[in-house]
Amino acid sequence: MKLLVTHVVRAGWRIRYRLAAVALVVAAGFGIYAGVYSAIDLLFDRRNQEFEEGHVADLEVRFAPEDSQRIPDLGSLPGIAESESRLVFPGQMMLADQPPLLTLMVTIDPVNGGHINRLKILEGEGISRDKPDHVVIDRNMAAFHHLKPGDSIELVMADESYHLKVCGIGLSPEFLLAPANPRVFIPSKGSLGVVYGLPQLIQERVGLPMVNSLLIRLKPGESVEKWTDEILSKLEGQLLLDQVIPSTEQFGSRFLELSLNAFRVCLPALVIVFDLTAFLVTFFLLFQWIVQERREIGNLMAFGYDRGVIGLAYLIPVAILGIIGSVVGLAVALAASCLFSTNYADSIGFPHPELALIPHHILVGVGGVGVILLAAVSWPLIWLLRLTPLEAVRESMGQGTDRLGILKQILAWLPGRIWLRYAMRNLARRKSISAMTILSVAAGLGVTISFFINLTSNAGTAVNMIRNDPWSAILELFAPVPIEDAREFEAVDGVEKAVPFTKLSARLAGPLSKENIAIGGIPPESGIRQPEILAGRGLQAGDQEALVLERNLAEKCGVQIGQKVTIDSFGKKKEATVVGFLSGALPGEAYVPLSWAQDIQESGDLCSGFFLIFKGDPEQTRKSLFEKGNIAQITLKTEIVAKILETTGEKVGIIRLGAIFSVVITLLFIFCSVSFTILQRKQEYVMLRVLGMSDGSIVSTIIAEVLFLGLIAVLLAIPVGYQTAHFLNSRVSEAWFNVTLVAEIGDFLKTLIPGLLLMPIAALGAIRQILREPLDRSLRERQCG
Amino acid sequence: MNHNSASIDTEQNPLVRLTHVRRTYTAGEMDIEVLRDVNLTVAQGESIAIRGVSGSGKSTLLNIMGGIDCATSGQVEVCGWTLNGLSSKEFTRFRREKVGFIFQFYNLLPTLSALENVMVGPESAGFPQSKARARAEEYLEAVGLADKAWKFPEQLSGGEQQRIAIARALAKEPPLILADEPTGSLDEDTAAMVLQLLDRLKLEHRLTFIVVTHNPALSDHTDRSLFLHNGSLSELTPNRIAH
Ligand SMILES: Nc1ncnc2c1ncn2[C@@H]1O[C@H](COP(=O)(O)OP(=O)(O)O)[C@@H](O)[C@H]1O
Ligand SMILES: [Mg+2]
Repeated sequence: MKLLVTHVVRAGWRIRYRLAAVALVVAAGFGIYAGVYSAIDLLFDRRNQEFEEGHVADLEVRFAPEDSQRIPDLGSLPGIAESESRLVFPGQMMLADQPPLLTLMVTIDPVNGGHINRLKILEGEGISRDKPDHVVIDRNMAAFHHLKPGDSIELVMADESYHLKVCGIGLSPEFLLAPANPRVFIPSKGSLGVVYGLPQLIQERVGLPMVNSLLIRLKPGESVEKWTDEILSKLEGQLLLDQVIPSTEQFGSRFLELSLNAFRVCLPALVIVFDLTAFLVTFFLLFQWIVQERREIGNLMAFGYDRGVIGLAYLIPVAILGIIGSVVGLAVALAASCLFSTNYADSIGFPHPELALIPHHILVGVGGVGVILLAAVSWPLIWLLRLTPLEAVRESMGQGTDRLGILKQILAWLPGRIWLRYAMRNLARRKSISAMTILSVAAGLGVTISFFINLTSNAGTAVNMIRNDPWSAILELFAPVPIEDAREFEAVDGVEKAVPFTKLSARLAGPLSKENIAIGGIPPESGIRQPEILAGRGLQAGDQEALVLERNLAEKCGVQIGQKVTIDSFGKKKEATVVGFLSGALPGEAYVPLSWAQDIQESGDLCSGFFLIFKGDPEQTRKSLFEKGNIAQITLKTEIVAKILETTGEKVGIIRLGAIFSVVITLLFIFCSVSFTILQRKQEYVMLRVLGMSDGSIVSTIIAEVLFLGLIAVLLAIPVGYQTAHFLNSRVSEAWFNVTLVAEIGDFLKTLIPGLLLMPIAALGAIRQILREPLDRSLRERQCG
Repeated sequence: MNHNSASIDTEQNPLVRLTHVRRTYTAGEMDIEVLRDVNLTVAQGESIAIRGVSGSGKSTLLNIMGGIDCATSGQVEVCGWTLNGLSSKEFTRFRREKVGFIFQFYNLLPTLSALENVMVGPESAGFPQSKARARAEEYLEAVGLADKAWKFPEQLSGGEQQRIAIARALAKEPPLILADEPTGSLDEDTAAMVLQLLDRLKLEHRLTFIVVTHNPALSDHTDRSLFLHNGSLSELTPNRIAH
């Protein structure tokens, strides 16, 4: 037994580099799995923890500003734990060389309020009653606009200018991810500032303690759905209601949820594809090794060693491999968890989760490693040990060449120099091994390709959402104006056309559920918004009560095209007919004719903003426009596109990580597999050298074979990558907006060209070994057999 | 070094001349002296058998003459080449142009058909493809296997495979043929047939032929027999007189 173990361990040592490669692949597979799943859990944990510690509101009601003394008391409702009113007031922060930043001023009473959506001070200090001009700013606002405690800022609200001092930087569960302007189609971090100040700040100028937002926390276990109606019926008639936002639909948390879900849905897909490749590779390499040991095992059986004992002996190096793989895998997991979670958190401005691994995932990972290694080694072992010693030992040189059949006959007639024919036919020789190699390489390269296509698709789809729109900028107003004011804007230098729109929030009651929607009213004949229509049609001239609805929400509500639905905007109800579904970045995006929106709002001919078509320089035109009052924000289309691409750019980090992992695995695999197949034919190459074939021709033969293999794999990788990208995209589509497959040639070339170039390099070790092999020794070995 | 092949045409110039050839192997601390002092001259057109017990160094000697192995010391001149201290590139050229090998285990490439295996010889010797093919067909015919041209080694018997290997060695028409136990893996009848074939080809093509064997029967087919013992060659009585 001791001798046997010595033999097996030495046999393993002889191919230590290949086994080390297997250990690395195992480690990568395990590490990616445990790391990524831990990263996902840690991000969700972090969110839950922040929500819990920050006492996040279950519901927020927005209404027209009202004296805080006149807010009805909700304490009588049994389901409500606490409620708190505040003022959320839009304004602009003046920036040095940029257009003003849309900023929300949120008031907090440091003594009686601030329990709900509790502000955590990260730096500096909180606001206090005796310093009325001190404010706390949001963490991301500080980061994007380089502000720190002690800095001064100028805020303009309702045409009044406020000079304020930043006393601290804070994090509120309401804005866990970078506050973004929800009115922008693809909200991007940094597009909204949030400032927390004392109620007195505005009260001093207005005279009354005004509030316009009510935060409500329900008692544990109470349903938001149920109490929303109760609360609304109590408030209706007393307040001029504007919006009801359950925390699950609050813009920030909804975006966070969507984004986290996209992460949660996409990464496992990545892990599955990646680990499948790792599994194939591990399985194949160990299988090869055991098959290679065939003769030795036959000899051992002939010497009278018990089959079970031989089997166990071969499990020893594999167990060592598993242990090394798991230990290295832990390090990989930690690195992967850290890289993926911080990379992702940074891309949406989310706080970093702690650096840790979830034990559950480690256990599953280690279990997986064990099962894969055991399966990979026992399958060929069991098969070998079932043979008689003689069958095992008698492994002829031509083994594996039989049953080439028609393929070989065809190949036999193909013209070409002998060395080239030899190279090509070697591929057909061990068909299953060649096929496995090609498949594994194609899978590895294909996965990498799919990552890049997925990225291109995300950016492409997001850009496509607005690319067809003719507008150059969106102008949003603080207070509504008559649509005739379009003339005034068109009179501004550089503006060609101004198309009015109005925005409102409402609830749509479908057969399945009642959902909040964000409606944009636009002149139907203008064609100013051209969202991607997935079913039905968009708005058309002459439409009176047509509704185009974001598809995911429509499915959730259970509404069909052609169906008449009732829209409820705080007591004001109106019917509309669903004419089409659109693909939107956020669920609940909807469009109706402008007149319909004005009707339900009873706002006459007012609008809340304009789509602008520019003819002059956008920056210059924006500057001129800002000279007019009442303008909350002007967002250029080019800016939105740039932001989308920038956000995608940040996700590139994650994709690149995935790509690097799979390319490394592919190369390790090529290295192992190619060395194996080539060195198995060492005798034949030696024979060719003896017969006078030059070193150059030998190298050409080997490279031709590898390149041909690589070429087939590369060709196969194209559809594999395309299909995998489809799969990844469909996962994203489920979680988010409808991602259409957009691929660039570069997505393929970025992977395939380096892959193809590196393949011959993977064969260099084997080539060197063959060219250095002393001829006489090899001939002698052959004769020993 | 004299690479000029014209100089070997003279009858006096032997095709192979070994003087004081020594070959030692280092196994651990010990030096094994496989060839101690080998002297040998082979004239053009001559056929020679080298006999000896297993392990006496016959293959080593043959490999040295074929440019597969190097002598530790002594002079090795074959076909006008002095083989001492050649680079691996020069050795390759030498093997390609001057020597045809026949081995005990045929060493055919399993993925090439019979014809293609024969073509390996002339093709690696630099013949253009069409000429390589014509040669291969010619020699396949000569060994009587023209009808098996598109068969693969695994579809052929041992005797047929060895005939293919012989055709491969001859097809490039090298000045020297070296055979290491060419009948070693064949049964008696097949071996006899292969030997007859070799006899015929030797005559037809005026081959210079050195065969290594531990089988005394083989020496009946050569002009001269030598015996390798204790690392040096000794002359045996000629079995047959050259024609
Ligand atoms: N590379 C080598 N290293 C060590 N010993 C060798 C080597 N090659 C051959 N020998 C030894 O040289 C001796 C002669 O071998 P060989 O020429 O094959 O004999 P033969 O062909 O007559 O049977 C053997 O004892 C063998 O062990
Ligand atoms: Mg021998």
